[in-house]
Amino acid sequence: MPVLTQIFAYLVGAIAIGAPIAFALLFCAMATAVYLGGTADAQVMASQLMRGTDSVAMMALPFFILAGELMNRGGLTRRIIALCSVTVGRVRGGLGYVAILACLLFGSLVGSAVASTAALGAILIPMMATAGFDRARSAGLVASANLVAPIMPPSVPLIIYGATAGVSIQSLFLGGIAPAVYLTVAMCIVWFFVSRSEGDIRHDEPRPGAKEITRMVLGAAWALMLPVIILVGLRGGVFTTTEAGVVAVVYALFVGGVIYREFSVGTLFRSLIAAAKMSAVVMFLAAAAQVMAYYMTISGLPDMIAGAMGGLVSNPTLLLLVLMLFVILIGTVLDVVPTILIVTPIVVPLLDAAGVDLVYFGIIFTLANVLGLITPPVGPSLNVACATGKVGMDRVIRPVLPYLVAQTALVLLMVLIPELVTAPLGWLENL
Amino acid sequence: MKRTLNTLFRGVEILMAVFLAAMVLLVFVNVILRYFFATGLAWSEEVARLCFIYLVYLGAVGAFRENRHLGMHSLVQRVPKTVQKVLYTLVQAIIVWVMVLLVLGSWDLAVQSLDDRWVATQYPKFLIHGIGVVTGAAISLIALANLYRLFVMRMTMGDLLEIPEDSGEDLTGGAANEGRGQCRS
Amino acid sequence: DDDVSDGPTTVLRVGGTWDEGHPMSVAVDEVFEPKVEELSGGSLSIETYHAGVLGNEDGLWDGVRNGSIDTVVIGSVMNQEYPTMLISDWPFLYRDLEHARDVWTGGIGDDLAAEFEEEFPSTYLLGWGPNGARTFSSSRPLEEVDDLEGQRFRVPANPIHIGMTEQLGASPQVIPLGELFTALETGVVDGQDNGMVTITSEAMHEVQDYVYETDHIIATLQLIISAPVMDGLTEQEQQIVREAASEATDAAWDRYLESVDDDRAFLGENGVTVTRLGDSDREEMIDRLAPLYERLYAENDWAEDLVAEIEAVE
Ligand code: NA
Ligand code: NA
Repeated sequence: MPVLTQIFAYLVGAIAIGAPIAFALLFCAMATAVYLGGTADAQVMASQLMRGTDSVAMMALPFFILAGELMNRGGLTRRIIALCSVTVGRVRGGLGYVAILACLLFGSLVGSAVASTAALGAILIPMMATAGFDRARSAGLVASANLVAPIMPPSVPLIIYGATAGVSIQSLFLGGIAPAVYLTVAMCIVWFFVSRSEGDIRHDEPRPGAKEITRMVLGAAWALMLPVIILVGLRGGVFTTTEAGVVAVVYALFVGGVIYREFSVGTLFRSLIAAAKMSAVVMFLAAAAQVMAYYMTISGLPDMIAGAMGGLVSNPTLLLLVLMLFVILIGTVLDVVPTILIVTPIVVPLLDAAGVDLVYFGIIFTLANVLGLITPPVGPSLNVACATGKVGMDRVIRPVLPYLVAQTALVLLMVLIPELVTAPLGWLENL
Repeated sequence: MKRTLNTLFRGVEILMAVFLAAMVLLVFVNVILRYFFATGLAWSEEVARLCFIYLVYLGAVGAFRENRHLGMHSLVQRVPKTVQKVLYTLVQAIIVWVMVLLVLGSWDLAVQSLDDRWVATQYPKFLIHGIGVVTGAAISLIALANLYRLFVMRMTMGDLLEIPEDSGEDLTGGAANEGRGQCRS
Repeated sequence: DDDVSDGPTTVLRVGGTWDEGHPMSVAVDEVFEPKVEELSGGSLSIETYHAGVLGNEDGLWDGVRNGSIDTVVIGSVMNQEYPTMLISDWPFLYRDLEHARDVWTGGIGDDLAAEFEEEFPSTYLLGWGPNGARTFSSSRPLEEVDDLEGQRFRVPANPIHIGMTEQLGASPQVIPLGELFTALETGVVDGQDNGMVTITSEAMHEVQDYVYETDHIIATLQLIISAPVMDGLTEQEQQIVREAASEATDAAWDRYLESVDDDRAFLGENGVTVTRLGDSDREEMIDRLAPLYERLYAENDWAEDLVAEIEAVE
C-alpha cells in the first residue's frame, strides 16, 4: 500500500516537525495530490476547505462553546461547587466526591473537558490542597473527573463526530448520558480506594443552616435547569440541535445577567471573542480535515483499509476492540478533535460493513478518544489541571493512572456489552 | 508597525465577536418566530452561514499570528537549537506553500463565480470565495514575517512560539496556554 | 490516434450527491459505467463517487467547471447565473411524470443543453435525468389541499419553495437537510416536501403518517462533463461517452417511473396514508399559486415561451 505509507509519512512528518495540525493536514492533502496526479490542485483545496467550513451542523459548536464561556464567567461554577460541598462534602474524602459530582453537573453545561478542567480546576484543586489532600493527587483526580464533560451532553467532540459521520447529534447527546453516569460511578469507586491513603480528611467547615442550604440549592438550581431545558426542548420538538446551542447561550445570559447579576457588557464581549477564537481554531482544523478526507477518498484509502481489515468485519466486537486500542494509542500524542476528524471518515465505511450502529460507536469512540486528554506526552486536560493546580506534569502522571485504567476498562466493557449504551439510549429516545 | 498590526487584529477580533453575536441572534429569532408565530426568516440561515464562514477564515489568521492552532511541540523541544531553527523554517515553508495554493484556488473560484449568487440573500459568491484569498495571503505574510523575525531579528524559538498573554484573557484559553507553556519548559 | 484500445487508460471520476440507491446513481453504475468501459475497449475507465463524497452540489458544480472533477450529476445549482435552470423548480409544469420524461429526453432537452453549453463553455451537458417529483409528507392528516392550512413545513432556503408553501396555506420553515429527520421526529416541523425516493431512503416514513402525492415540482438531474476533459478524449471516445450518457439518462427515467410505484406500495405497507392529488385539488393548488406564477413570469422573460413549449409536448 504505497499510497497509505505516503499519506501517513506526510501527515506524521509534518505534525512531528511542529507544523500546526490544520496546516499539516493541508500539506498532506496537497502532497498526496501531487503524488496521485502530478499537480497540487489549488481549486480542490479552496473548494473543499470552504465546504468543510460551510457546515450548518458544525454551527452548534460556537454556540455551545459560547454557552460554556458564559457559564464560566456568570458565577455558575462557584454555585455548583457550593451545592456539591453541602451535599456530599462531609463524608471521608468528601472533597474528592465533591469534585467528581461537580464535574458531572458542570459537564452537563459545557462541551469540552479542557474548558471544564480550566473552570473547575482553578477552584477545586486549591480547595482540596488547602483541606490537606495531596496536591498532585487532587490535580490527577480533577483532570480525570473532567473527562465526563465531553461525554455528558452537550459535547464538542460528539458534535464534530456527528457532523463528520453524518449521524444525528441529538441521538449522540442522548446516548452520552448513561456512559457519563457510569464514568462518574467508576471515578467514585477509584477515589474511594485512593483516598484511603490520604487519612481521614473531611470537609470541616461549619455546617450551614437550613436557610443557607436552601439558598445554595436554589442558586445552583437555576444553572442545573439548563440541561433539563435543552433535553426537553430537543425531545419535545421545540428546537433543533443547532438551535439548542443558541437557547443555551440565551439561558446562560439570562441566569448570569438577571438572576446572578454577575454579568457586564464587558464579560459578554470577552466571552464572545474567546468563543469566536476557539471556534475558529477548531473549525479551521475541521475544514482542513475535509480537504484531507477528499484526497483519502480519491486515493482509495478507505477501501484499502477496509480490505486489509476485512477479516474483522465479520467480528464486530474484535473490530471495535482493535479500533478502541488504536484510538487510545493515538490519543497519547494527538488531541481529541484531530483524531475524530482524521479517523472517522476512514472507519465509517468499515463500521457500515460490519453493521455497527454509528451512534453507539460515536459514544465509545469519543470515550476512548478523551482518555488521551490525560495521557502524556500530549494530555491537554492534564496540562490544564497542572497549570491551574500549580503542580508539575511529571508528578501527576502516577495519580492519574488508576483512573485511566478504570476508564479504559469501562470502554472495553461497553465494547463487550453494547447494551450498556444502546439500552438507555433506546429508553431515552422513546421517552 | 507593530502597534498598527495589533490594532488591526483587535479590529478583526471585534468583527468575529460581532459575527458570532449575529449568528446567535438570527438563530434565536428564528426559534421564537417559528414557535410563537409559525413563521420564519428566509434569509437568516444564509446570513448565519456567511457570518460563520468569515468568522472561521478570519479567526484562522488571528490564531496563526498568536500560535493558537493546535500542534505538537514535544518532539521539536527535544532537538538542538540549530535543528529547531531548520524545522521551524521548514514548517513556515510548508505553510506558505499551502496558503499560496489557497490564494490561487480561491481566486480561481471567485473569478469563476463572478455572476453567481446565494439564493435567498443574493449575496455574491465571489465575496465568499474571496475570503480564502484574504486568509491565504495574510497567513503567508505572517509566515514570512516569522522567518524574518527568526533570521534577521534573531528572535528565540521561545519568543516565536509564544502565545500572547493579552489574548488569553479568556478563562479556558488562558489556562490552556499556561498548560502548554508548562509542557514546553 | 482514433484507435480506442491504444495507450493508457483514462480514468473519469463521476461525482454525485445522491446515494447509490437513487435511480440516477443506479443508471450511472449500471449503464453509464459498463457502457463506456465496454465500448471503449478499456481505454476509458469510470470511477463513481455517490452520496456527496466528493462535494455538495455547489462544490461539484465548481469542480466540473474548472476541470478538477471530470463528471458530475447535479441539480440546478447554477440557476442564479443561468436563470433558465429555474425551470427545474417550476410548480405544476407537467401533466405527469411521463410528460416530464418526454420533455427532457426529447427536443427541448437537446435545445436547452446547447444553450447551457453556450452559457458555460467549460462544460458539456450530456443528459437530463430525473431528480424526483416533490410530494408533501406530514405527521398530521394530509389528504386534500385544505389540510395544508397552518401546517409547518420544512423548506430549503429557496424563495420559490418558500413562496409556494406560503401560498398553499402552510407555514414554511427553513431547516437544513441534515437536521430534517430529527426535526420531523421531534415535531419541530409537521412535514416536508421531497421525492418519494427521498422519503423512503431517509426512512421518513418512520416519523410521517401521510404522504400527499402532489408531484408539484418535478426536478431534473444533469449529467455534466468538464469540457477540457471531454476535448482531451478521441473523437470516438467522445462519441462513446455521449451515447452512454444518453442511454443512462433514459434508463434513469424508466427506473424512476418504476420506483415511484414501488415507493408508493412500500409506504402503504409501512402504515403511511398515501393520497394522490385529484384533478380538482390540482386546479385549486394552481389557483392558489397565481401570485407566485405572476412573480416568476415578471422576473423571467424566457419563461412564458419555454413553459408554452413544454406544455405543447404531447
Ligand atoms: Na458536556
Ligand atoms: Na494524550
